[in-house]
Amino acid sequence: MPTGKVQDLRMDVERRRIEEALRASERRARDLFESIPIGIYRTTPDGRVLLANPALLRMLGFDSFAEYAARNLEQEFLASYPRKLFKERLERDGVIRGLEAIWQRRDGTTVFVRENARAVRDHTGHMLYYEGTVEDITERKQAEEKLAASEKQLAEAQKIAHLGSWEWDVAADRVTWSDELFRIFGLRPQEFGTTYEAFLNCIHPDDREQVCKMIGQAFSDHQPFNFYHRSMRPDGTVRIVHGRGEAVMDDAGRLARMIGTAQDITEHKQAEEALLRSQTRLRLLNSISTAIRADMSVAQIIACAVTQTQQYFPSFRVAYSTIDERNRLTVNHAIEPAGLPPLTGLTIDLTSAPDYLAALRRNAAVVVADVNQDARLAPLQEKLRVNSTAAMLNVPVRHSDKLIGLFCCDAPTAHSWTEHERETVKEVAAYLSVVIREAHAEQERQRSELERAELLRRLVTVQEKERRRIALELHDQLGQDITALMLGLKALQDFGALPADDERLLQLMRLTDQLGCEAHRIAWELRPSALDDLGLHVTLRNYLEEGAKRFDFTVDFHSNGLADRRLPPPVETAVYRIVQEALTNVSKHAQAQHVSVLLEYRQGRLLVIVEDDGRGFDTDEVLRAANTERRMGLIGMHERVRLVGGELEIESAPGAGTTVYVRVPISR
Amino acid sequence: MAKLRILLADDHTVVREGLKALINAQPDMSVVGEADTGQGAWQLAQSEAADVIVMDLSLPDLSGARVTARIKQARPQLKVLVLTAYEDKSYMRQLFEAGAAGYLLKRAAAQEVIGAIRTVAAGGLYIDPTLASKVVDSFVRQPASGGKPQRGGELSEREQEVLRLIAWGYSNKEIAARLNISVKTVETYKTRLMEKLDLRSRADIVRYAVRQGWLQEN
Repeated sequence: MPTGKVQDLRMDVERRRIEEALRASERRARDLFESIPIGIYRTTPDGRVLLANPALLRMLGFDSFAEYAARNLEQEFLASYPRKLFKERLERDGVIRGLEAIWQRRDGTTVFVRENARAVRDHTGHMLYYEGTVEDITERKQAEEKLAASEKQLAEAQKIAHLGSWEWDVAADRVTWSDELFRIFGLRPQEFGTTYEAFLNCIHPDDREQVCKMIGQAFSDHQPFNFYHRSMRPDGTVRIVHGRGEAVMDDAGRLARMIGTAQDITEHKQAEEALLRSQTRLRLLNSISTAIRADMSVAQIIACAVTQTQQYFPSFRVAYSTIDERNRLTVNHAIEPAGLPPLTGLTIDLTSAPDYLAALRRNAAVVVADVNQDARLAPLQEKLRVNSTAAMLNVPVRHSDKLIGLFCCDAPTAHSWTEHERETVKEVAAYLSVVIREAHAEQERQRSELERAELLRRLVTVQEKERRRIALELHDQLGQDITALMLGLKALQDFGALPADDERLLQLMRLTDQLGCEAHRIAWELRPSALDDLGLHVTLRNYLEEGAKRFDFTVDFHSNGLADRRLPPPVETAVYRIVQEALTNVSKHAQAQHVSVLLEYRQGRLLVIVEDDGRGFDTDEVLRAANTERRMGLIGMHERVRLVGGELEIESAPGAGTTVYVRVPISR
Repeated sequence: MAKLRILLADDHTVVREGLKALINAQPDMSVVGEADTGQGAWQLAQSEAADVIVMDLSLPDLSGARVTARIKQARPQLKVLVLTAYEDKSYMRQLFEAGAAGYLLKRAAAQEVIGAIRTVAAGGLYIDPTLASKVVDSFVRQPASGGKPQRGGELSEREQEVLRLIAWGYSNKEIAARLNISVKTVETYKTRLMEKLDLRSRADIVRYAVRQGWLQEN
């Protein structure tokens, strides 16, 4: 066999083997192309589809390649698809890896894909087509989104609950925080050192030791832990945090990590405290209003309010002071914590601190955090220092625009008064104000009543005194002159200067005599001197006997227990005048026939009764009537009796006569 | 016959002079001393042997009543004729009790003083006629119609009760409240019991009660 032949044969065999191998490889490639779950394609830059494997067709919902190839990709892509970027990148880099995008399927639904692609060029560098793979990542994408959503939810939940979570990789000393935890500690992520030490720095210095102890304990016993601490934000605000945590072991039973949560319960705690405060405050106010309702005296109510408020604020001194017309403050009742000097009885002349006084007059409250910093109090500096007052909370009590009192809390060191303290003290003072104002109004009413009575008493006294004076004058001066005149006339008659029966002389003597009688009558009516000299019983009897002649009714007088007894002059005068007034009334209105005047003194009590059998009247009607003379007459009688501490009662009815009862207690 | 020796005490000079002229004009009278104060009158009364002292009741310093009492004590034979502007008979009684022999109103002095001096000098009592009539008046107008106690038995128990309470000075309202009856009823009882006992007034009721021994008079 020629060598050539053998050579050729060999070559032939070789070629066949290669061809076979090639076919097998092509077949494998085709099999791969056909069966791989990843889409494979080849397209032109202008969007014609040259090749697409079954996986891609399935992914996009096409039945055959022909169907897909009939479409131009440029129209297939969604508006959001970065086709321009895709082309530019391939043009520039020749390759794109891991592009995640959304493709549109045949039925319009979408599919999340991850693409790889490369540009295929001829040897001249001319772009032939793009070739690429497409992987359906929809499921993964959905899982990712779900995870993101749940993480977002967690963060949201943490935010709402003010609950942050942390994890501490002990070995690496790496601390990871949830976003909320940063917020709780008032930090931005980059500000936190992410070490245990950095964490400790966020704890309020006073609580640090305790937190360390707690975590140290968890280190050794691996038990879950639970604690409260205060945290300090970089801006200085203090938050109250509830921490929980537990240790996590590795497979070998060694401590690997610690995980836990921290919840900001500041608001919660504040609300709880506010609730507690408002409950105790309510109790405080309630106890004061109970005192008020219990009809305690004003002094007792003040004492109660001061005591209760001091118990409520045990570190403050609480005081109520009165302020008089001259702006002199006197501490009426004060309670102080142990160690502070007592204030009760202290007096301060407020006019020495006019600005402070003006503030008390004007404001609902005068709040002083530090008396040394308050210029208004400068004049009182020494007094405040001696009494250890460094801060004060004053609530003035006013009555009809006048400053009458001061409810005050004070502290021995500077103190900025919280809203709660201010409100509580103001409320207590408001309760007190009502009571004190009422008491003041009552006092003023009583005072004006007393003044009125005093005025009346003076008026009556002056009137009686004046009457007495004129009566005396009539007797002692005019009376004497008339007597002298009469004696002169008599001398004229007796000594023969004129004939004894001279008519002019006799007429002058008669006239003079009349004048004397008249002067006497006027004097007696003004005020019988017997009332002063001989007493009520005698004077009244004489009056009634004399008066009987003038009245058109008979007067029956009976007296018991007074014949030898003198009563206090004001009582005698008052009774005498009342009987006169009553008889005048009878004479004017009653058309009576008989009048009884009864006078009885028994066991320190004087009873006077004037009763007539006249036509009577409706007492209510007369007293209700406008300012008639009759009504004023009755009121005048009432007043005169009241002035001597007695009471007057009038009983009358039309047709049934009238009885006036006067009862006067006589102090012995 | 010896003249009556008269002392004069009055702080009003003109009155004193007038009286002196009147008295001295009498042939049997002579003013032997004058004073214008109570103290002066008392000294005169002690030093001068006089029969009558005519003395104003209201002298400055010592009152006429006091001087009268002292004279009565020290010089009972010296008659005191009180001269006064006051017409209350109560004063009069007081002075007579103190020992005065006469009570003369000033306004009547000119007419009456001579007669009064004569009366007291003769040992009589002199009372000014106007006052005398008052005294008689009050004597005549004695506590009137005293009711008829013997008929008290006719009162019902309730009427007696009401009468007693009225006499004690209770008002109709109080009586009504005490007896648990209306004011109107009290008035009815009162009218009826007054008719039965022939009492005109409340004063009569009181007097009736006193007589019945229901009220202790003191």
